[in-house]
Amino acid sequence: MGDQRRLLGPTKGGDELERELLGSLGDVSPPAGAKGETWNRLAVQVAAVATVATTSTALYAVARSGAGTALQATKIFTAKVVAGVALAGSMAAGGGWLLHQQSAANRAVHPSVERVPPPAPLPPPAPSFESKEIVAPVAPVPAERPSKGLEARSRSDLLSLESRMLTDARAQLRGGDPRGALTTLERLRARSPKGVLTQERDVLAIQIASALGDTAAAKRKAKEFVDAYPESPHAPQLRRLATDP
Amino acid sequence: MALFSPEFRAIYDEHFEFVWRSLRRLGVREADTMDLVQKVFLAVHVGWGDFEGRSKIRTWLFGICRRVASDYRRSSPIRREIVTDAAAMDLRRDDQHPAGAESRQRATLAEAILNRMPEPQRVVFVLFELEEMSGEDIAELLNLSIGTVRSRLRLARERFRREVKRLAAADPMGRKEAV
Repeated sequence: MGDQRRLLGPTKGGDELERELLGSLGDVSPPAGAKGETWNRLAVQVAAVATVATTSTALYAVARSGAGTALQATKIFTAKVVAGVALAGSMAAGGGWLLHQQSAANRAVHPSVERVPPPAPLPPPAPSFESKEIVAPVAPVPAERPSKGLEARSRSDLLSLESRMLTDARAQLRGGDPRGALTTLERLRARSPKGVLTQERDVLAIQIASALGDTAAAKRKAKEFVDAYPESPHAPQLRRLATDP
Repeated sequence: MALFSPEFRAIYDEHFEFVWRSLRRLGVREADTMDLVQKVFLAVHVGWGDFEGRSKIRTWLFGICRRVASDYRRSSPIRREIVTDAAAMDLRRDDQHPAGAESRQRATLAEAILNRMPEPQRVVFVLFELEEMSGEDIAELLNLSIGTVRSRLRLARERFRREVKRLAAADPMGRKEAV
């Protein structure tokens, strides 16, 4: 195509008006900070998908193992919790994106992350990858500050750890080991007291309480959750749960 | 286990700007671009295991960008029409605007013209005229023959020229100030 000149090339093909119009489209580079912000959103979205994905099979597993009236009642209760959470979580992580796309025109911000469980209030971010990378608390504070690269990796690893431990706890719950799930959840709380996926933690705690037969605690926690996060995608199901006689 | 593999992070770092620019060139508004970039890289994250390396990574990424941008454009026809109409009106009222708004209006108008093009022509036109890619590179990126690239570029240029003339004819007095 060496014989074709570009309209905006040095030889200036086309007329002046065409060149001026095309030239006005010049720079479409991303604004400062866009790269880091997009990465953070991606991390939250992927983490949410990872923690929620395994939940969708929980209802099937729980419902399949029913036996004994009292135990069955507990399992049905648990199944309702799990089913609702899985549905809400899936909507948050997947369908939320589509819903968001349809309404994006009316928003100046990019709230696709709003559809997934929003992160907990973050501690003051340390300088890192474009200064806005997701920050998870690190305790205890090391005597020497690690390099920026190590900090970024540390934060990424913490989010990964949180996601993995939640997944493990869900697997234990699904496998009929609610006490093991509770232990994993407590370990996670000890290692990362606040974390990013706080709603996922709370919801899992409700599931565990219900699986342990502590229906009153499950209802109380569900009510607390709804009060704390009335707009959460988990809220409608947990609201019904909290008021379920 | 890390949430993202080092390979994925490397791809993100290397190609983020390419994906952003591609989406913008494919007609995505700036306000919506971050969401769609996120969508593209989510698709990359999910589909990375299926990428067999038979095409270049940029070709693969650009293919995803095209699909995402195509869905976006299909889902927002009303918004695009609004932008198009607004651009046309702005052209006629340009002399009432401060000078700083003129370049914005020109860009809006140019985007409106590009948005009227059939997508295959638009892609070739944008890559050649704005991204200054060679015909051979475009052919490789889009997996087309060089003849097809030439043909689409010719059609796109004709269409672009026609649209510009139509707008200029519709407002001959405003042309000098407006554009």
